[in-house]
Amino acid sequence: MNIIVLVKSVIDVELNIRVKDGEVVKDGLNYILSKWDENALEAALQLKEAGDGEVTAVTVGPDRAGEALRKALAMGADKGVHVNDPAAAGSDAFGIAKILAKVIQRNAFDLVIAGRQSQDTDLGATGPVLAELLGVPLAVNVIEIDPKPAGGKLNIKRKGDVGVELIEIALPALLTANDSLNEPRLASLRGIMAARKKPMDILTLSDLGIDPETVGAAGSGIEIVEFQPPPQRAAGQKFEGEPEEIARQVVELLANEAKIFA
Amino acid sequence: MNSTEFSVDRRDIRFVQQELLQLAKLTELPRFKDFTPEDFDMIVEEGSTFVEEVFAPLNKSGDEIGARLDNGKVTTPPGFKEAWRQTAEAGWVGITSDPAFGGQGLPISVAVGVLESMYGANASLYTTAMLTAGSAGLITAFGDQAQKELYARRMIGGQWGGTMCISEPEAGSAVGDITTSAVKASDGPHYLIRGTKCWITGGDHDFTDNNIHLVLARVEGAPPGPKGISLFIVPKFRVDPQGHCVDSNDVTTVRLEHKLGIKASPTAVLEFGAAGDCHGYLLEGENLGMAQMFKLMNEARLQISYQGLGSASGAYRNALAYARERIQGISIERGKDRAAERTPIVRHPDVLHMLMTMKATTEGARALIYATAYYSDMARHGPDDTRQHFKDLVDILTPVAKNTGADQCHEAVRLGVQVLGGVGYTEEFPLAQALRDSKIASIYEGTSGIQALDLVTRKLRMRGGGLFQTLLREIGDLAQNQALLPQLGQAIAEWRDATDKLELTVASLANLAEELGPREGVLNASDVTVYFGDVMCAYYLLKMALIAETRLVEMGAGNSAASNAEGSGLDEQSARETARNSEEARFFYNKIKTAEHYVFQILPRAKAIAAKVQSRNFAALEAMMEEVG
Ligand SMILES: Cc1cc2nc3c(=O)[nH]c(=O)nc-3n(C[C@H](O)[C@H](O)[C@H](O)COP(=O)(O)OP(=O)(O)OC[C@H]3O[C@@H](n4cnc5c(N)ncnc54)[C@H](O)[C@@H]3O)c2cc1C
Repeated sequence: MNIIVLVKSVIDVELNIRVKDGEVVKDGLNYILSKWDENALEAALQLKEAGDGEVTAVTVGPDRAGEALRKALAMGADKGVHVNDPAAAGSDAFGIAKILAKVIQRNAFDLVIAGRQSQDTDLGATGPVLAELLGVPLAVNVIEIDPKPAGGKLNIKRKGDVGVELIEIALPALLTANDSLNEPRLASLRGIMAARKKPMDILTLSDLGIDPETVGAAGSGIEIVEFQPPPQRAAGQKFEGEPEEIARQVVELLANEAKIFA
Repeated sequence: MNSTEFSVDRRDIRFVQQELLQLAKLTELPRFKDFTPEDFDMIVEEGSTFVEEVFAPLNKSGDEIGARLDNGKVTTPPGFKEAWRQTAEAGWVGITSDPAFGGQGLPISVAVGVLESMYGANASLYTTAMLTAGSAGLITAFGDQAQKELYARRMIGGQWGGTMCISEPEAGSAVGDITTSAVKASDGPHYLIRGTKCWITGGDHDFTDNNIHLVLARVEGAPPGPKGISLFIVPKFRVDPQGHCVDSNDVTTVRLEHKLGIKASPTAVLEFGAAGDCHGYLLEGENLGMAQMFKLMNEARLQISYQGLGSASGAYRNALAYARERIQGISIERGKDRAAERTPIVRHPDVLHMLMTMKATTEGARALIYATAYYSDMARHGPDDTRQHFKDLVDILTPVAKNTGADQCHEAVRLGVQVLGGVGYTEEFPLAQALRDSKIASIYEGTSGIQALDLVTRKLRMRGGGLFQTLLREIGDLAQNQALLPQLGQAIAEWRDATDKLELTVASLANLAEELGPREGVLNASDVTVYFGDVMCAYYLLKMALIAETRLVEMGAGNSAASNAEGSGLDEQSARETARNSEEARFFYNKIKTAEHYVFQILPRAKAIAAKVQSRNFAALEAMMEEVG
């Protein structure tokens, strides 16, 4: 099976993120592989290990996105493709999907797996738009994959609003991963060493025949005009005294102020 | 970062590796040309995550349950065997081992970025890995091709364990006095080994199918003392050339020690050849054992310094997190105002002093240890014409780094217990275990006393003091640097003064030895080793503070008083302002404060040490302590 995994380098939100003059302050930030992408990659690796095939990790981003790709290679992806072109900066989900579609369509593929959303923008749009551009069926928020495709179809489970859907999806297809799909493996030292010798394609928009005006900030239909930090959480409340007394106070507050029993 | 779990100080490790030592330049050496600087970063980053997720969670239960010996079989605590498997499979056991035999061949100065945390997160688990890689290293260095393929490859891969069997009941510090014997067999290339080894780390365990002991023994008729010692490969199970265990090799686990700490690390008394049938395979040649050990001794000793460092680093982060949360008392500036808000203890000056001492000690030790590791990489793989220079630095700094890592870092852990107060003394928080676990570092691989003797009676005297002069020239660069902040300039001047006095103190020790005798000459050897360590830690902390100044300026800090002047430098107020607004700038600002604290609050003990030596008082030698009653 030829599997494409979409990966993105995102700001590590474990660190404090500061906003100044409507923009995120970039100094001292650490970038990591978006966590749902790790689930996507793990799923791809498990599929490969259960049968055979090849896993290609693809990213669009500046130099530092190469790190996310190398992490993917260290975890076990076979090849990497990095679209690194300043003109791609500022793309909206549609722009990114357009670029990814061009990358993916260069070769035959069976499955594309993406994270259900990226950890920084929480948008969750790239996967669905890409499925549309590729003209393949889509299942989002996947929580289980049967590793043995049968008759060109894959059995999966996805989490819907009210319950779990059991789906048979025809390949090629695009899935987006929920974080309960699996427990991503750690990159091993051997994996990191092996990654050094794995092929990594670095492409520009012109390599892909994409008109820079149609993607990036120039082609984006949306513009982020300002960035506002999330509101500070109000201070918590501390209870002191005997456990019974505390329990009574808490229940009272929950009932009367939070009105959770209403 | 919180008060109960181990976490890696990624930021400081990155600073030391990338900004202070600039390890990226190692990739220009032929030996490391297949690496990129990004590989180094990724290895340390992913290794840190591995440690936090695989090593740390087993630390406490490992301590509670400990390794056990029942009916001749050793069982390690639940989870340890699986963690070993993961560690081995991921390649971490052989992180610095020879790539020709399955190792990853990393520079040790890069690897230490992971290894200190392995120690800090779970010293018990790491000891076995460290000894396995270390003993495999002896085989890759001195074994023949077949031995390397058969034994070293499997040890580096973690399929088999490895140990170093040096100590005996009557021969601990005095290695030359060992009596384990080896007799050339009449029916094969092997020797028959007989004797008892004690304190053997990883001497027996359930991680692997076989355990390969490297045993120091005396061949029949060999000269007495260190010159008559040979090194043997003694597997627990004899193996065929394909590596299948075919026969038990008459190695018996007599006992496991009940210890103060590292309780999950099995420390065994091993009996070799109780039935007269223990085969040993000679490494390289007879009577070369001590020379072989010496060649790898610096590295082995430096390894132990990582342990104290890792413990101190973890302890500092736990203590800092706790101090920010624990509310107790009123800030002293609020006086007797009972209505004043209660404060987190991190505001109390005494607590801050302890935390800062922990931070300064840990970060100074980290820089010293990583730098020594870097010199070691350069001594082995650097340009030919610089190797001797770096070898000199490694030789003189190894005992200093070992004692700093073992003793000063242990002291930092002790302060961590103190910061927590009552709960620090309980097993509810990890500090108590860290205090117990980290104590061992000053005992094994040569006690602190033995390191001090090595420094004072060997290293400082080598080539007529030539190594010391090389080091003094190396660190002399600091005095040429111009600090931007006046207090940092003063700190550098203070350090310069302490360094000059170190030279005098070392000379005084030599005089005492000459004038009064060898006993007087070494009475303060341990003290002087502390002094040496303080000077070195302060040196690196000051260098880092200078880098931090530059970074702050790059981040927009300047001189508020002379804001219009061109390239206006830096003043305290502006540095503080910049630091208030950014975590990264705060890291740099605190780095400067750390150097100042070290120089003005820790380094002054050097003056006391100098005074002890100058006192020419030898009461400890004169008192009748040997007499009974
Ligand atoms: C947990 C643990 C694990 C260990 N693992 C191993 C291992 O894997 N392999 C191995 O071979 N050994 C191991 N050891 C042994 C360790 O290396 C020795 O305990 C150490 O070298 C000290 O030897 P000793 O215990 O006989 O103490 P001694 O040598 O009896 O020393 C006692 C005291 O006397 C001092 N002293 C001794 N001689 C001198 C001298 N000439 N000048 C000044 N002071 C002196 C020492 O500094 C110390 O303070 C381990 C020990 C422990 C506790």
